[in-house]
Order: sequence, then structure tokens, then C-alpha cells
Amino acid sequence: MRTWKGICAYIVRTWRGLETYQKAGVFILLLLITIGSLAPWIAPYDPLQTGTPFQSPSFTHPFGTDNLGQDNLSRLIYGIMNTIKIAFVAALVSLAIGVSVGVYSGYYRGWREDALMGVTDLFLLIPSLPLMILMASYLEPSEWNIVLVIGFLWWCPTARVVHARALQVRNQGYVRSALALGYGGPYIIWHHILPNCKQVIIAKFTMGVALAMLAEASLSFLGLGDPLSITWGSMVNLAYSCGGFANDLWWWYLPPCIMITLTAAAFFMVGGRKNEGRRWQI
Amino acid sequence: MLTLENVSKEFVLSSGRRFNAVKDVSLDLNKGSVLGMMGDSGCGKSTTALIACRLLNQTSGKILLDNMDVSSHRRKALSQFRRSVQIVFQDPISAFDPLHTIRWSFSEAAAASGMTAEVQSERQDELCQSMDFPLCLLDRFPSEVSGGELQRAAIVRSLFIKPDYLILDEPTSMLDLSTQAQISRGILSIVQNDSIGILWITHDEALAKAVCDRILYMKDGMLVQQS
Repeated sequence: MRTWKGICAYIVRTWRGLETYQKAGVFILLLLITIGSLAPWIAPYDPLQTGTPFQSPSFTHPFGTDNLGQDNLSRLIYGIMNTIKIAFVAALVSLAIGVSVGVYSGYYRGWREDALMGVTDLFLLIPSLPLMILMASYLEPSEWNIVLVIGFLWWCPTARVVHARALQVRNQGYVRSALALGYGGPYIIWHHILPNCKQVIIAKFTMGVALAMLAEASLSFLGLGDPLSITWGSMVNLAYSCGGFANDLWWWYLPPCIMITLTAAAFFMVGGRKNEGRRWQI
Repeated sequence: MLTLENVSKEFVLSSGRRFNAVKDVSLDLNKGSVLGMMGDSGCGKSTTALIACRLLNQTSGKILLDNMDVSSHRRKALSQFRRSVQIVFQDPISAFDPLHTIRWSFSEAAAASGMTAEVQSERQDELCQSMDFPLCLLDRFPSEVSGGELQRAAIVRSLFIKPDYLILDEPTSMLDLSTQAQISRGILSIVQNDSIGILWITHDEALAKAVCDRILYMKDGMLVQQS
């Protein structure tokens, strides 16, 4: 009971501490996730149900239908969770690798830092999108391969930022005090370094989700995504490859583009750094 | 006895130049005694202190604990040595994790020595009383107490695990004169009761003369005088 109280108090405290634009981002994401989770009940049609193709917007099909006569609005609603899920897991994979590399090299330093940061710099030098396209084209098109491609190639900026923060924290007196108390590296990393890198990690994660979403959309648009999975990227790809762009069927390609932009913007808004200094300004 | 034998520390600056912060320093610290260390800012006192508790590796020389060389100790042996030599840093604000309360920091120290909750509570009350640290501040975060209070809390934390030796790097620099005297008395009574050896680094000559058995003077990384 007390734990629930504590969790609620923490949520309320965190919510109050957010800037207005961060609250707006959280609101948009919660709304999207709610709609996405209720897709089977909210969506007017089964997303795979076929009908008359290329219908323009009407009361029965507000966003028209695609080349197979599938309802665009239903596909858009079903695409929410798929798109967010892929981006979320991909960002989680890249975050796990980036944070591990950044914290480990920042805390232990020496040859480990030289080696790990050398590898990070090498990955940073490679243009990620062309490499992602290359990897995705060699791998079998599936949701999880997209996750792995994005996750394994986009950890470097996180590693760099977390490394810089870990370097700052490791020189603080409380880390030295913990060392003096006989605690070892794993304890100090878990109890002092990671919690003090929390803000950077959260910011990188939310921005990572937004970037992963854009990367997934790019790969799906290029036809390298899972053809059986309904994502916003694959909807744009279908519109492009089946004449939606050429015939200016805007109701087909514009809604998924707007949703990608809106969701990515919402994640960016949530991850935006709170201006701590502002409250002290006169 | 904690002994530093011909200890030197060399840093390589970003320009590539080498800088000797500590040069050939030797000192003995006995249990139950207070050894003072004085000198100008930047003369190598804090570096010597960090080397003495093995938070910084020396370039050359030896560190002996009860005549046993601990300079090459690693992992468990090093942790054990570190627990027997505690240090209170010059800057109390950075000595506490800003994300945790002072009580949490004390619990961390207690957990390091495997104390039970009951023993921890007794020790906490006893130390807070002798260091004049109000118990009502225990659940506050470091940013919510003053520098002087934090300095006292830092001393309490370092004494929590009953170390054999304690290094105080200007521990009373942020305190007013009356509190300084009170804390000094508290530290001295603990030295006598628990028989702890103290290396007291200070700029205050009057304080050093009042509390220390011997005083060492440092200049440009070297010990130049003893009184």
C-alpha cells in the first residue's frame, strides 16, 4: 500500500516538475498509446479487409482506401502500436549498448576507455543511414531485424554523452567516499554513476525513440521493412510504390507522414532538457 | 602504524610536461595520535592524503600498514585497507551524493562494515551527538543543509565504520570558531576512545598546535620541517 502511495507521489512530483512542452509531449504520447491499444475496438474496419481501391475521403472511409481497398484510417490506428513498439525496442537496444559502453569506459578509464571510445568514434564516422540500408537489405525483412539494425548502429551518440557525464561524476567526492568505504566498481556504477547520469539517459532515450521511429519509417519507405507488419513507414512506402504520390492521393500518404512527425516531435518534447536556471531568473 | 615511505607522485600535464606534486615524502601515523600537516595551498598536502588512503596511486615509494606493504594490494585486499583508512574531503558539498539523503549515505557507510540496523542506529546517535549534527537533518538531501552541517555529516560518515586511521583534509574550514572548537573536541574524544590515528591537514596554525601531537610542514611537494 505504502509502495503504491510512494509511486503515485513520485509520478505527481515528476509531473509537476515538467515544463509545459514536456507535459504536452506526454499527453500526445499517452493519447496515441491509448488509441493504439484500443485499436481492435476503435478502428472502423479490419486493416486487412479489402474493398473498393483508391476511394477518396468520405464518411465511411475518412482517410480513403489504398490500392487494395483497405481502410487507411484503420491501418493508421493499427500502425500506432507497431511503429512505437519497433522504435521503442530499437531505442532500448541502442540505449543499453550506449549506456554500458559510456559508463564502463568513463568509470574505468585507461586502456578500456581508449579501446571503447575508439570503436565508438569509428562507428560515428560511418554514415548511419546508408549502412542501415545496406544491413537491412542483406537481412531478411522483419520487424526484429529493423530493431537490431537501428539498435546496433545508433548507440554511439548515447555512449559519447553518457561517457562524458560518467567522467564528471567519477571525480565527485561521493564516488571517492564510496571507494574509501571499500566499495568496488559495480556498486559505485549502479548506486552513484548511473543515477547521476539519469537525466542524460532519459533525454537520450526519448530522442532515440524519435530517431528510431524516423529510421524505421525511412527503411520501410525504401521497402526494407517487414511487408506483413502495418507501420506508418510501410503505409507511405505502399502509397509511393502504388501510385499514391504520382496521382496526388494525399489522403493516403499524408496522414502517416503527419503521424510520424507528430509522434517523433512528442518524443523530442518529452526528452527536452528542463531549464533549471529559469526559475532563478528575475 | 600507517607509514608512507619515500612516496612521490608525478602527474603528466596536458602539455606533456611532468609535474612532481609530492616528492619523497615519508611519515608515520600511530594509532591514538594526531599528526598535523600544514603548508601553502598547492604544496601537495591533499595529494599526499589521497595517496595515504590509496585513492591515488603513488609513482614511487611504499605505503605500509602495520609494517605490511599495501602498495600493490588489489580488489578485496585493497577494499579492506581502504576501510581501515578513512578520509574527510575538503569540499563537503561534493562528498555527498545529491540524489540521496544524508541518512542513506550513513546507511551506505554502515553497510560497508556489515552493521546491523540496531548497531547502526546506536552508532549514528552517538556520532551525531559528539559531532553536534542534528538528527532532524538526517532525512534531508545534501542541497538542503548548510556547508558546515555537511562537513560534520562527512566526519560522522567517515567514523561510522570505526576506521583505524582518519585523514581530515581541512575538516573545519567551513565552520565558525565555536563550532570548530566543539568539533575538534568531539574528534579528539573519539581518537582517545577508539584509538584512531589522525592525519589532520589544516591551514590554521593555532588549531594545529592545539590538537596535534606533531606537525609536519610541506613546501613544493616536500616535507620541510617537523615540530
